[in-house]
Amino acid sequence: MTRTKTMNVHVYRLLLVGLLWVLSASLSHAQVIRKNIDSLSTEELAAYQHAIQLLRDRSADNPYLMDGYAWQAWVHNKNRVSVPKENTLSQGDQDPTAFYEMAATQTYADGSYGYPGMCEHGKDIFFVWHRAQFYYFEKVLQNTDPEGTIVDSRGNKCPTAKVGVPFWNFTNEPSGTKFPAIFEDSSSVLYHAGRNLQVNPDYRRFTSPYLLAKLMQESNWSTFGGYPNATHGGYGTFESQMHNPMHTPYIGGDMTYPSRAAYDPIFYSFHAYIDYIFEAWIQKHGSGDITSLDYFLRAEQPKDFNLPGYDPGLGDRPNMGRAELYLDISELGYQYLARGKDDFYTEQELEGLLKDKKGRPLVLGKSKESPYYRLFTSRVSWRPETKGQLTSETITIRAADVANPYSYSYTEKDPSSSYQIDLYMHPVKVKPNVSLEKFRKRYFVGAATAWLDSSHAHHMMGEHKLNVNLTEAMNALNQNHAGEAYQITVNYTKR
Amino acid sequence: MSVYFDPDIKTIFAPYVQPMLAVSIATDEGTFSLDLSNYESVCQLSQRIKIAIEGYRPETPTAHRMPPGGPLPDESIAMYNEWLEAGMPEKKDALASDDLIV
Ligand SMILES: [Cu+2]
Repeated sequence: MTRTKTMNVHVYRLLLVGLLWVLSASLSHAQVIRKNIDSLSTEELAAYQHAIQLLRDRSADNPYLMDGYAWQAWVHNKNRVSVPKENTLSQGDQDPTAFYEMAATQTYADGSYGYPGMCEHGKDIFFVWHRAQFYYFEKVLQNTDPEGTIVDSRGNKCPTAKVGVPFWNFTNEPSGTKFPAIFEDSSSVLYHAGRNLQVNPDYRRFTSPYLLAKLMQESNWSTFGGYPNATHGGYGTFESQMHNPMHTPYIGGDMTYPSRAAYDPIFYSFHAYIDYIFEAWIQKHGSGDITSLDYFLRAEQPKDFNLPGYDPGLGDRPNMGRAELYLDISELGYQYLARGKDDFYTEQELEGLLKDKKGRPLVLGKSKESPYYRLFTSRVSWRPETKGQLTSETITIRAADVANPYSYSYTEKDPSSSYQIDLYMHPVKVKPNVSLEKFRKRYFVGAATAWLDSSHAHHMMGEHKLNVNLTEAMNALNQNHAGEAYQITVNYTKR
Repeated sequence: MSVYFDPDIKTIFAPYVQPMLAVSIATDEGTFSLDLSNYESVCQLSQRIKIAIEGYRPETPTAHRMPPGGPLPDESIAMYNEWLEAGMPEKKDALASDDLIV
């Protein structure tokens, strides 16, 4: 009798353990949905803002908490922070950003160093580093108030368990003046003072959805996603042609600087869309050619959210594990809902765009408008600069392809702030003159921006190199001008 | 004349010790501090240091060149490379530590 009872209890226990296991297995694969911020329901938007507010509330009492807004921003912005044994700072009525920045620059004799992180830019782990950063950030948000029982300092509460970072598709017409409307609502926690809202208010869109579609077609990983850190690094086309110019000049304010960018909540929605682009590229081209996946990603994050396969490796500094951990987003617990206008233009649509009025394909050097000018300027207010410092170099037109690429390398002697270069390829007999629209339209082959900071502690570099891959343009010219002497003219402007 | 970490290489790197301590270096083995005054630390990241200090040369460009503000003198880079070739000896009469090369 007793024996049977015991056995029953035992069986129950086993069943219960089994049930819990199934539940936790399904929990660990629970998916949150990252949606376009303009299409969130009232509840979804409220939950996101509540979670952000709770992060801010935590940091207001103690800026050194890893699951607070300040630290999570430092994961992007600050290599090293002195952390006190016991925190004595509190925000009071200070501006939160000024408070975080002050907290980051304290030195505590009794403290220890923390290493919040350092964003990876100008190399092949740019995309995956930000993805890992967001994996933790999203977990932190979800765990602020999963059941909706905590009242934040604005008096709101709602469940945050299903919060996904909403994305801002910056290639679309904004719902506000320049940004999604909620970011321009000064009563929202997502509002951030100092952005370029008043500068060029007619600039409503900046980086072209056609350019994005074109860049997405590139199947060569390094060209699109960046060059290996272990060798010499360098921006991929997406980073230098879309990501960087959006930081500055388009968004501006704290987003101007790598060492301050994540203080602005728009950072998260901006980069959530970039992660969607990364995911779409992987879906299209596969992840087999992505480089440096065995690299460890620098950052000090809450250990509770380390992924199952997490291994910190051998070093003495904290990290988020190897890049390869972050390739499959279903393992990371989120997916994207993108529909209609969030889809990329198709190859046919691109082809349709790159035609003259008579329906003939635009030919570089021959047509009055270069296909690159059309790509960079369609449906957006971005235009090549009409002033700046010009330098020209003579080149010989030749065949070019992946195995025999052509790229222009610009050297910046003073990398203390961002700069842009616009590139033109034209016959030697044509005098370069960027103040002439005719010249700009016909000979433009591309533009790139370097996103840099005056804070040497941030990037610690001497000169800066900006490489622009012009293989396709070179090869296009080779169709009609093989062996001819040409000039490449660069127009440099400081941001 | 042989090159040793102590004093030759250590002297070259002395001005950069403090700022580099703030940075973590990501590699395929983990994330590391770089203490340019410490023999083991420099050996561990010797190849990365090579790339950074040669990054000013047109034939080996890199997005992250070191040190900030301009290249080391050619003699210093040559001395560093010579030290690498010699197996990174620590000081006179100490053994070359091949096992630390990454
Ligand atoms: Cu960014």
